[in-house]
Amino acid sequence: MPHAKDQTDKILQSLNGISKLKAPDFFYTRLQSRMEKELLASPAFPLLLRPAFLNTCLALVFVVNLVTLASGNKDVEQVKKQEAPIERFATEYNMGTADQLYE
Amino acid sequence: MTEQELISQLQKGDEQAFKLLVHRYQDKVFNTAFGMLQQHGDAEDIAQEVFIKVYRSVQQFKGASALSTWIYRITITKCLDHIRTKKRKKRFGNVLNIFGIGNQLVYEPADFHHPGVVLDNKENAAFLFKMIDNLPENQKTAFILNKLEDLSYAAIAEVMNTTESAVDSLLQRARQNLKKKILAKNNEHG
Repeated sequence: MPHAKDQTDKILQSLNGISKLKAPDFFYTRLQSRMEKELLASPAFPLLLRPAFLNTCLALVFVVNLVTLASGNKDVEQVKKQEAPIERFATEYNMGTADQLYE
Repeated sequence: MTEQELISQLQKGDEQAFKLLVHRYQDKVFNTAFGMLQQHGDAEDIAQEVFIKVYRSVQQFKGASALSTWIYRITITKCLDHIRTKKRKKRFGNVLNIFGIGNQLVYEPADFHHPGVVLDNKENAAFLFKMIDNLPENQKTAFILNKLEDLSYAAIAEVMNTTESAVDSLLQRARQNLKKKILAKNNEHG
C-alpha cells in the first residue's frame, strides 16, 4: 500500500518543472494566410444566413400566402354566385340534383 | 507599447499592432491549447482561431479585464468547444456503428507525450495526461492553467470568472480525482 501511494504521488508530481512550449515556427505567417482566406474570401455570415436576408424571405412567404388565401376566397364566392338557381336550391335543402338521383 | 496603447491601435485596425499582439501571446495560447487538447495539430488550429476571434471582436473589448485574461478566456472556450464537438462526433460514430450504418473505426489516441516534460518523468506524465483528459471540464481547465501556464489562483479565477476559493476547491478536487483514477488504474493492472 505505501508503494502504491508513493507511485501515485510520483505520477502526480510528474508535471513539476514542465517547460512551456513555444508556438510553432511561422505561426504568424500561417495565421495571416488563413485570415486572408477566411476574412476576405468569405464574409462572416454567408448571404443565405444573414438575418436581414432570412427576414425578407419569411416576409415574402407570408405575403404570398396571404395573397393566395385572399384570391382563393374570392374564387369560391364567384363560383357560388355563378351556380344556377336550381342547384343553389338543391344545395340549400340538402337535396341532390337530378343526375345524383339516378346514379 | 503599453497594453492600453496596443488595444487602442488594434481597435483602429492597425496590422502592426495585431502582429505585435500575436507575437506577445502566441506561446501562451499555444501552450494552453496544447495542454487542453493534447494534440499538436488541433492546438495550432485552435490557437489560430483564437487570434481570428480576437481580431474580429477587439472592437467589443472594453478593458474590464486584462488583455491576457480575455485571450486566455477565448482560448479555454475554443478548446472546450472543440473537445465537445469531438466527443459528439465520436458518440455519433459509435451509435452509427451499433446500427451498422457507419464503418468508422473508433480508435483510442496514442499516449500523449508533452515535449516539455523532463525525460525521467515521460511515462508518468503521459499516464497523468490521460487521467487529466477524463477530469470534468472546470477541474481540467484550472489544473492545466495552474500546472502548465503557472497562473496564480487569482489569475485563474479571473479567466474562469470565479473566485480564488472556488479555484482552490477545483484544484483540490482535481487532485483527489486524479489520485482515485490513478489508484484505480494501477489496481486494474495489478
